[in-house]
Amino acid sequence: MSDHLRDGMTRMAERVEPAPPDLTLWTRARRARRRTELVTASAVGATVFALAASVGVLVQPNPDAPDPSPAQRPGIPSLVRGVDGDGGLELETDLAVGPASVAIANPTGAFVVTADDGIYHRLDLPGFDPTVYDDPAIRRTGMVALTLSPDGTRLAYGFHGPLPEQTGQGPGFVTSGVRILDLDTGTVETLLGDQPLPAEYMYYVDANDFQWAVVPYGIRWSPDGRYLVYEQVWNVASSRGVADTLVRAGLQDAYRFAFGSSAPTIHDTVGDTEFFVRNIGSYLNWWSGWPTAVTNSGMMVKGSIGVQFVRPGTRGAWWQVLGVGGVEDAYSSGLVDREGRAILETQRPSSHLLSVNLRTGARERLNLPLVPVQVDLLGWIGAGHVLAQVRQGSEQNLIVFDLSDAEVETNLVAPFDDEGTDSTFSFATDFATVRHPASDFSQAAEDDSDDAAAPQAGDGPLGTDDGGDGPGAMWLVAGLGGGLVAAALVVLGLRRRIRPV
Amino acid sequence: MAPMADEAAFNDFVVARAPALTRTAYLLTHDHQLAEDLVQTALFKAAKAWDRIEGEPEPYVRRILYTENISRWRRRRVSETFQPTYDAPAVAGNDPDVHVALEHALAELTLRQRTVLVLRYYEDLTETETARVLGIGVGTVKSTHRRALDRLRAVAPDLGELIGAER
Repeated sequence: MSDHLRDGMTRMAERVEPAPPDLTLWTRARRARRRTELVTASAVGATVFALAASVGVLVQPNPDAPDPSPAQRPGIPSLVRGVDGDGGLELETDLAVGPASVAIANPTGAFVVTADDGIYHRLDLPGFDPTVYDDPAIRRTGMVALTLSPDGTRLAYGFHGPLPEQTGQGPGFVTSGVRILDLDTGTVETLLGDQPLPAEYMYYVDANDFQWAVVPYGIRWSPDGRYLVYEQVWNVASSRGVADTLVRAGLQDAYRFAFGSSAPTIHDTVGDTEFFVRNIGSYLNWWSGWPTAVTNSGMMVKGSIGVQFVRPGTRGAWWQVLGVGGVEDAYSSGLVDREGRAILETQRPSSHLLSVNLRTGARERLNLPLVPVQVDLLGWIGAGHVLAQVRQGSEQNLIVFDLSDAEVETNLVAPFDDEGTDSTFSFATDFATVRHPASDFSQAAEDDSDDAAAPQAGDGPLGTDDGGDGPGAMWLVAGLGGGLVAAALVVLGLRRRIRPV
Repeated sequence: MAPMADEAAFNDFVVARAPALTRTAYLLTHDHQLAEDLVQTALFKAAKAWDRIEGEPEPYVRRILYTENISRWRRRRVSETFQPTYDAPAVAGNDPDVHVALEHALAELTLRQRTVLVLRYYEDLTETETARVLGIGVGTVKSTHRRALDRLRAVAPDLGELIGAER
């Protein structure tokens, strides 16, 4: 019997005509290894922080102690991978894949990672054109092609109609806008779809414009998921500028505010309690213009002379300018909490965070223990804790900032394994909490087997902070010991020899 | 070993062994594209750890191949079940139809079952060696192997001679 089966398999295998070997593997692998070593160093740093936190618990119980439960639950994967090409995934036309914790776009398509199981899905999004974002300079700005709502149930993206080069008719107007995919039902809604197209809804393409500007960009959700704000370049006749749009998601109810760099003072209110504010002063850079922070009650936008924000219950004239002056206030991202505290990230003169009390204007500098190239503050995940996307060199990481002190503590949640795939990422921040910032899906059991899970080569979770269980002395001792062992293993892992099986 | 020598040794290994690895990968995936992707991934990981591999690199690369294939399936849960497009009854012996039928029947197995059969029959590993490569127990290998053959008999009863009678 075994000879027959062996013979059958051999004949099957002999029919394969292998492709020519890829001799660029070595170069790409060494580059990836250097990135991995940087991530490992970050993991060691996170372990040290965890140890320090454990010592702190000796003095005062920590209500935000990590959840000790190892049970798998919906969440952001503890290792976020970029997608190379189509990722070998089938194109899914049934878009009801369920809530997602991560959305990924690369130059070839759109993908989401479902929150329940960490599975990647390649989506057939109507009108989505990933090629318009295919520019390294654009990716470095943090602009993402797909934007997940905080609860992960909806995916917003820009779309456009036929481009002149596709119709062969030369420069002309292109219809574009924003669509929202409901990941629970699979339905796609075009915002403003039932209304006559206003001038700024169309984009005039000519040779001097950025290709990416053909679609809306800088799309952000309010923390409660009720509002969507985005920005769009328009070019109508001799007029050209940027339109900011605040959309009540799902209600076809938009408020659009247009301005050009020569007439930037625009601010307004929407209803009695919802506010939309535009910065005054001209753009510092073309990439720094979109809204910095969207709250449930308004938004905050940065500009060359400061940041504006309007408190609920006030009208247009009550806006505040936060921070004035020159390049020191070139904020690149920000958040506002319910108590009216704004957290802004700035890279000048050196990368740090700025805490601003919106009621009093009091400012406090918060120092980062790392030197990031770029920080994108994604959302609050607990009192004084912010989930942030941090880029350091070629490395990208999802990190929790503890802002309870002027010296910001960091905790690595999930490294990005982009591996040169040119992927951009959007996260559903509601899935992350201080106690449970990420989920390790690598231990998921196979459906068809009662066997133990097979090992995964090189796929171990990195930097998750699940660990101790409250202030008990036993747990502390175990945590300290475990932390030391983990740190030693991480260091030794760099040198461990691999023996053939 | 100097970096340049490492790179040369790795490239020599790729040129020499990639075809054989691709054939094994094809048996595991039943898809040419997936097989090549799988081999690329395994070689990529091997290159990252090249200077830490003691002895011959091929066992290490093959282990990555097997475990990565299972990991890939676990991550994506992509149905790899072939459509039952073959209706012709298979005939035992060296008839090409038998091998086509076998290919379809193997595709009906779970990935782990298929992996165990490939290791046991194509790679000619013992149960103990298979268990070591996959990082699972010998008992698990035995039970998986038995279930795999049972399933082959169930989905392709015409391959009885090839697979063997039920014990």
